[in-house]
Amino acid sequence: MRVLSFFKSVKLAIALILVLAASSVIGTLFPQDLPPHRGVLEYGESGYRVLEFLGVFDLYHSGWFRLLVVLLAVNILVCSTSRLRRTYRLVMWKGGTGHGEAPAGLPLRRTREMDESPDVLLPRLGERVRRLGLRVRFEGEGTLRADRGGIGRWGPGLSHLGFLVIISGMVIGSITGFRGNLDLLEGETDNRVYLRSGEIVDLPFEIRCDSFEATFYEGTARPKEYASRLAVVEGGEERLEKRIEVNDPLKYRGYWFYQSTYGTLGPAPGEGWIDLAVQPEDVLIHLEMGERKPIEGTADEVELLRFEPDFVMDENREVTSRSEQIRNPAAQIRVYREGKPVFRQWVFGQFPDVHPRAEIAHVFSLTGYETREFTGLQVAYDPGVPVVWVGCGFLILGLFLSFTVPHRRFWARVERRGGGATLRVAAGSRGGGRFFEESIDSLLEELSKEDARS
Amino acid sequence: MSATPVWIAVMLYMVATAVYLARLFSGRERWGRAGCWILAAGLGLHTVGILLRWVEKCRLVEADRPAGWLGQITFVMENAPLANLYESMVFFSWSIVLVFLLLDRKYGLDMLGAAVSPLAAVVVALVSVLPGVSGEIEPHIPALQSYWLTIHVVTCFLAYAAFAISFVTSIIYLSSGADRKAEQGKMSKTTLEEINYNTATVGFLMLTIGIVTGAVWANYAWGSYWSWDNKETWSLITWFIYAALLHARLVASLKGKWMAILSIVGFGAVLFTFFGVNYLLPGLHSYL
Repeated sequence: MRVLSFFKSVKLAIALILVLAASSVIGTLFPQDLPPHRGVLEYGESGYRVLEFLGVFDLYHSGWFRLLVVLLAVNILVCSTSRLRRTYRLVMWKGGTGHGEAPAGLPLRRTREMDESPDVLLPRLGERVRRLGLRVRFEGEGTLRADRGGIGRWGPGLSHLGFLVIISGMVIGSITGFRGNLDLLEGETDNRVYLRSGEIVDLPFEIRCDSFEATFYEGTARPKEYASRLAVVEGGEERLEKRIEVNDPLKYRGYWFYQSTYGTLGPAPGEGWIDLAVQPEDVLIHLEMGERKPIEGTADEVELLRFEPDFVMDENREVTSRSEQIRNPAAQIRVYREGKPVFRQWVFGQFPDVHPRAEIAHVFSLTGYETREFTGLQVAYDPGVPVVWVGCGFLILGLFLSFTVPHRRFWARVERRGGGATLRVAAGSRGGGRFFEESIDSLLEELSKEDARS
Repeated sequence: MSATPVWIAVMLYMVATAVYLARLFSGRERWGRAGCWILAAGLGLHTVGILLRWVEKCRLVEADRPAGWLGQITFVMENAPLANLYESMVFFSWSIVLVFLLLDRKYGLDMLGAAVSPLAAVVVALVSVLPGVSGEIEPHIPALQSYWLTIHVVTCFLAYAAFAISFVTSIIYLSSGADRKAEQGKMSKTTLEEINYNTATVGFLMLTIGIVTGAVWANYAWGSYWSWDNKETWSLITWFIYAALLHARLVASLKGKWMAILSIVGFGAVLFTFFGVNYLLPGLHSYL
């Protein structure tokens, strides 16, 4: 019970919300999912370890951030359920004070002495209150009650329920769902999705890419459309075909396939070819990957070892590709003289004569290479998504009810006093009460005037 | 061409500022009504400017206009002038004036006009000061080609506009004296408190719809309804702050002053979500 009353506090909710807000700021100050070696470079060995322990590099999935969300969820659950009974009683006019007394929770109280009898006064009052848009009910014994917008009282409960449903949907998604990448060359079929964690998920069907197309606005480098023609193949049969583009994914059995990236692959180990021009012999050699061919008119041979689409050399003189786009194509070749390897060399597509070797007397240049377009698909499987949308619906509907439907209540009792009557009135409104109270006062004013006239 | 009506509107907003100031110092409601009409005229021209730009943007990609009425609607919504910093600032200013005039009708805010009108003018004027803001009309990149663009951006900016008015109210609330009753020519603290709360509820509802529509769009475009992208995170931070504000009204000791403080902090978060994230933090929302 002590724990329950701890969580039954709006102050706690406000504190938790603000702490969550402040914590979220931290996550935007540090790069999320930073590779460890970059982190050590940036923050130093021990600095990185401390920050890593605090979870700042994956803040929104860290234990303490999740704990805060759970605390807030429990807080909301306890507060909302404990309010349910109160809301029900308010909407249904249950409870309140003794017989003939105004119900609780109606702050506006007025008492008027009238000259006319209750039998005339009560219907007249009822008619005026009805004109305010309230539903009027006569309770007998000179009592009247009227209300409108009781549904608005359920708004806060509904929006808080929505918040909890959204969190449940996120939990469902993180347990049962996954997100990953699937790169397909044109014409290729595959079902293996690479997750960010390094895991590989095998889809229960295969995806084939029939073509990829990137178009640009005329005369500019501004991209206009990225589109892939995909087909779903299941048990050897084609089930579905769709041309996807950014903002228009393919959906099949709960799996969504998005146009995410694209690129051009050059020759890869074991496949592909290049064209190599050799000077001063002025010959063109077509080389398959790993192939060795003689240079015509000489006793030398050349072999294609490797190809990188976006050549870059790091501080340890290791060669890699900076990207999967062909930006700085380079081929590594090896030259043989009299059957023996003499030297290796990188030949660049964009810089033809970077390293001519005088002693060899050949100048090589890369004049062509095989290219294959690939499309980069993002694959998502998340059964939590519909749950999240339901939660969002509750949240928005709940806020609408809370902010736009004021619950207005009016209660009156007319008691005979001599030839006239005593009129007691109580009224209240949830949200924007000022206008309602003003209209009740002017209503009483008019009623008194009419009473005086008769 | 489309910029001219917007600049005339900005001048009208400045005229309205002067008129609203006259209302404050003279205490005559007539001046308040005049200010309201001048703002409305400015809003009309502002609207014309935005619509002209919208038409120009549609013309630019006329060749891709699809057939059928549904396609037409989608096409128009995809090409709304809401796709870069220039266009969104012009629209932000428009939203501020619109939301102010609407709330003024309901709650009577003419005392705030002298602060809100210059704000609307300054937001547009900023486009010529801020670095990297170009008014050039360009067709949309693939990521922005969605009708969710219009729904998402419009709801977000209506929220920002309501928060701007809540912010102005809170500044006045904190700078006015301790007396809770209305002094001559001033609004009472209770009224300011009520306006602060009511504008915050409008903003909160709109921001919620804005975040949800953004999530729906992200689920179509990026493969995830929530990726903790910096802009998403900051919009959530903003949402948290205003959620705290709405709940503060339920606690007697936090009502009033703390609501005003949270509204000011919240508007800081709004500005950071809008500008700060783009200038200081990397993220998926790089186009805006």
